[in-house]
Amino acid sequence: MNRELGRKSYWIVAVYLLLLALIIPWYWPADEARILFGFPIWILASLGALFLTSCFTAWLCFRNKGSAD
Amino acid sequence: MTSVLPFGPGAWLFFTFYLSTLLLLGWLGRKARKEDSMQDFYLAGRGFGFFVLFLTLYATQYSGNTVFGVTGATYRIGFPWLIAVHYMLAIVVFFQVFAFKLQPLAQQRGYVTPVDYIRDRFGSRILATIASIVMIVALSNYLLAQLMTMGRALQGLAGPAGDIAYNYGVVGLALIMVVYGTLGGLRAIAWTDVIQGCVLFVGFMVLMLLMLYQFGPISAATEVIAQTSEPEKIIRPDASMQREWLSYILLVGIGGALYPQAIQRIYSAKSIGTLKQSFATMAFMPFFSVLIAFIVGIYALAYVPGLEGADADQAMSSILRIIQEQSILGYALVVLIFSAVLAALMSTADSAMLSISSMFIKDIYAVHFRPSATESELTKMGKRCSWIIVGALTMLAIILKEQTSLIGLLDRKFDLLVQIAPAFMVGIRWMGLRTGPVLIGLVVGLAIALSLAFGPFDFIVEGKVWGFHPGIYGLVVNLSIAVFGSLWLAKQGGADNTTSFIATSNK
Repeated sequence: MNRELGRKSYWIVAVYLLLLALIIPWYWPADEARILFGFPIWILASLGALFLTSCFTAWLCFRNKGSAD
Repeated sequence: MTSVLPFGPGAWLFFTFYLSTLLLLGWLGRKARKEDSMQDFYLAGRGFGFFVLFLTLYATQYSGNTVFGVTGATYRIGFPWLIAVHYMLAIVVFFQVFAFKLQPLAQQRGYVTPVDYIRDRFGSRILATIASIVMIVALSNYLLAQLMTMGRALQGLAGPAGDIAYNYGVVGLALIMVVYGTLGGLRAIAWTDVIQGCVLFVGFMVLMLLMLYQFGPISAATEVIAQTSEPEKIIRPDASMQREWLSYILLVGIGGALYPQAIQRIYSAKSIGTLKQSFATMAFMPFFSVLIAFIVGIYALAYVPGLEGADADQAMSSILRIIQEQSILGYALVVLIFSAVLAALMSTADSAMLSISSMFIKDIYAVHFRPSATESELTKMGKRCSWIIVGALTMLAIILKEQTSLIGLLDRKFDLLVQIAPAFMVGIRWMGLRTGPVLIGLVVGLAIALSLAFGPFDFIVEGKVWGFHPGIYGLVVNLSIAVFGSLWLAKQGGADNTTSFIATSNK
């Protein structure tokens, strides 16, 4: 693995870890049960982070469409 | 399912037409074959463009569990089971670690089975054989579960004659699947996946619209749950459940990406561009499938109370019954949704069948028993092998009809599959990874995962240790041995039998 590719991968891993930290609802109060648009608010936050993960994944796929990286 | 979905002759005619179409596509797949080789039979000549590749990935990844399992678990656990949506996306994320490097390598070096890569990369027959056995065992368990769910789906339609219908369901659907699968190989299976993927997608969309029409907005359902159910079904997961979330994301994400049938679809892509386009689309599919199954579970929790224990798995059927009884249109749409259920089951089962037969023939039979066999002989043997595997698993599905607890115990496929991750996900990116440490890591990882899963330990709660699956503990030790062992060997300056692979793959 060359150094440039390594740096590129670390950046991607860091973004995914950040998104993972947003997906798991650890940052809400333990008894959080407020409802918004029919869903508990922590569900909407988790789904929002998931949607960002989908967009980031799709962007990574299209960024270098023909490359093996 | 219980006798909640009694269908009339019109519905049965529709099912018959749908299943006949699958047989027709099997025959067309056979006519379209270009040569009598394993590459043509098991990888469809590596020619899948975006449309077929995406739909075959989609139909294969979303199984009967997506429909029944997720709805049932949401009914039991409530909103915290949103994790099911997350782990389906995690599979696509983990694909990126190795898929785009593996696809050109597979084209260049003619891989047919996942283990072809391991044999080529690490040059070890022992490592390759252990990896084959792990994949075959994990996948056979998966195929058995799909066959049993097919039986249960038919059992639910038959009412008092449910037991006989279960047997006919398993035998009939398995027979149709093995006929079209052995006629046209992966080409036929991918073509049927195109139909099944479309039916599955439309089925999910129709289901969502019907629920909104029948029960009103989700806010009303959530309000009912807030007033009547236990509060833990609404509040955010506690610390223990959060660890389970992390464990599921890692275990299913890594294990699902390493499903042999998924790896063979990576091999069969026409180009990296096609593969990336398919994965980019797959990244959004959890919102159009498993999220809907999750919402059905929420509606069922609100409007179909009282399903206790294993009966919670009937949450989907109960919702469908309510919709079906309302109008002729509702009835017709439930027929379509039931077809989508059959599509989810069959498209997953047929791919598992083909994958098991390819690994058994190429990685076990051809390597250990008939090294001189020609491609044509191996392909013929592979077809026979599919019949034997499906025949044996069909009998097992009938014998184990009532043994759901036994199937639950056997359902450790991801704990096993993730142990192959260092070879694929690290080995393809880091050429310093050595054969010996990978082999030792795999054996130790399997031993830890299996002993924690089946051992009589008091600290194991619902099959997990401190919220994490046994496979995760095995993988941590496995990965440590593989990486640190390789670094240590490199420092010692020991011989490396992966040198020839590095030299030729870098050309």
